[in-house]
Amino acid sequence: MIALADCNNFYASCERVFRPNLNGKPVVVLSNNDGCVIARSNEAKALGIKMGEPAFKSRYIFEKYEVHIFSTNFVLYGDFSNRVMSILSSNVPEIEVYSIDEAFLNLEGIPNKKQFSLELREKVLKWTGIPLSIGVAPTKVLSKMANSMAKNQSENNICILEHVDSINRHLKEFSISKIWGIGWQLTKKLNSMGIYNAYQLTEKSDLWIQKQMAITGLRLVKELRGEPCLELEKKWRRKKSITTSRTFAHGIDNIRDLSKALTTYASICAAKLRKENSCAKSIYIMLATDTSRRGHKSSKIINLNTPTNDSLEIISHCTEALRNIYNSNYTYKRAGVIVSDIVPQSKVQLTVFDKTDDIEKRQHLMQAIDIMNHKHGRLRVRFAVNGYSPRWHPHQELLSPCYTTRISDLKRIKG
Amino acid sequence: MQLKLSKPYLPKIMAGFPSPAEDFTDLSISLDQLLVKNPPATFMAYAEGESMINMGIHHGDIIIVDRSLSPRNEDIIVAVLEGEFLIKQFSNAGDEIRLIPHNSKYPIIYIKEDSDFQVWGVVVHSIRSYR
Repeated sequence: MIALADCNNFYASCERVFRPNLNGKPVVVLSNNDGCVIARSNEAKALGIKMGEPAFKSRYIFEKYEVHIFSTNFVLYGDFSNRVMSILSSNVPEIEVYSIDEAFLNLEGIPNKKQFSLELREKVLKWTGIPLSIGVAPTKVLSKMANSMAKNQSENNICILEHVDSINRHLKEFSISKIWGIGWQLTKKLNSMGIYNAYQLTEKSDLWIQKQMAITGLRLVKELRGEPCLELEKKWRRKKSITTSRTFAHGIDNIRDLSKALTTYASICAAKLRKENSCAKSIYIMLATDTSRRGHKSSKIINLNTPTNDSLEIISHCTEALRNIYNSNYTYKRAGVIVSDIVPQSKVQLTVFDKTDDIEKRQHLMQAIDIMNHKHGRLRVRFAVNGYSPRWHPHQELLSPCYTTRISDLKRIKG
Repeated sequence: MQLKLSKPYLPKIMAGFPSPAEDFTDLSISLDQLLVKNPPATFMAYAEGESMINMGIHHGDIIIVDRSLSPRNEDIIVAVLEGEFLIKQFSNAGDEIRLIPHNSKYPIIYIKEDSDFQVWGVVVHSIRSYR
């Protein structure tokens, strides 16, 4: 049996741990730039505040109902995530950390799954203050379904789907659009064929499924039938690409500021590559005048001869590419750098043109920068091209303190 | 939480006799291990105010709080009362729960049945710096 443990309203719950006066009150967390709602407490959901809604649209509701608003504090959420995952993993034989706030657990050999789930939920809540929902079922896809049912269960947020009859009953009530791995396009296609709920899918023949949904779809349907096809991924996988992109608080209409932003994203990508001991062979930069699909977009791909994780090299490629695609007639609202074609640093093959002495020197430099930034905070040591003026920085006006990771930010409690 | 004392410096290559201490280099002291028994449940905070000075907790001290522990009578706890954090001594002797300050200028707080009260965690250590 597989369990999916998912933190309830994770970001909002993290914000509440050190603000107990917010329990029972509506809390929302806004995306970078304080643009859109990306997390809501139950009370905020009850007010009709929607996920992804632009904050300005809800301003009236925010004020009327005294909704507490936070900017995203990923340092805080990351620390709470580590705590939750470490408790989960020390209680089960196997775990796959699926995202910042959810993990698949292997419950093999655990006799009373209901009792176990209740105790695990209680433990995580007591130790960290974060509430979980736990869905248990024979396969990963079904555990995802069980979890979404657990979320709606107000008393204990636990849902165990063990017997075929009860699984089938729930499959009939489960819309295909909510199945893990079925996107809106596939939903539309299946709907047009008269398939609306998960049970209908399980009744189709393997051949039909494979024809309509390919081999990945067949695996998914088999999982819905209770036949495990997807294993827990326990091993850490090297990322396929790393993206750093931001929406600017104000549009940028000059290449100097744009270059500062873009080279900063390039440095962040390079530091992330080094953290994973990886190198990238291809760099992609993009500019957009609007966050919606309508705006003007331009982009450029740079393919390198030798994969790299050197900030200076990635920065210089980005600056060059920017000069190529920049158009002074536009005001840009968003920019980003994506590095891909990622290989392990140990497998990088140098070409005859690479100067090994220089590369080694630069690696030492990067290492020194990483150590200093790790100690004193991200981007504390930066390159001159990154600039200092935070004009293009995202707005984060409502940022909470880093209560768990920064000594100066520790909560002050009255004796 | 990453407090770590560095290992004593021992040069790798020594002419003459090898250091007799070399085999014992991993016996260094870790403040982390000493102060944090259960890392995922341990949090730190600054103590403010004077109400616990006779217990040795002064303004500006760092307290280490373990949320996995359940409070026993006379434990120092971080409580949440009506949405506010407090550091006090927990007492459940007899039938009632009391939060006891350790400074005669402050009153004892009696927890009523309808109080919005919760134990946030148990204070296991406090750290005080002298310079």
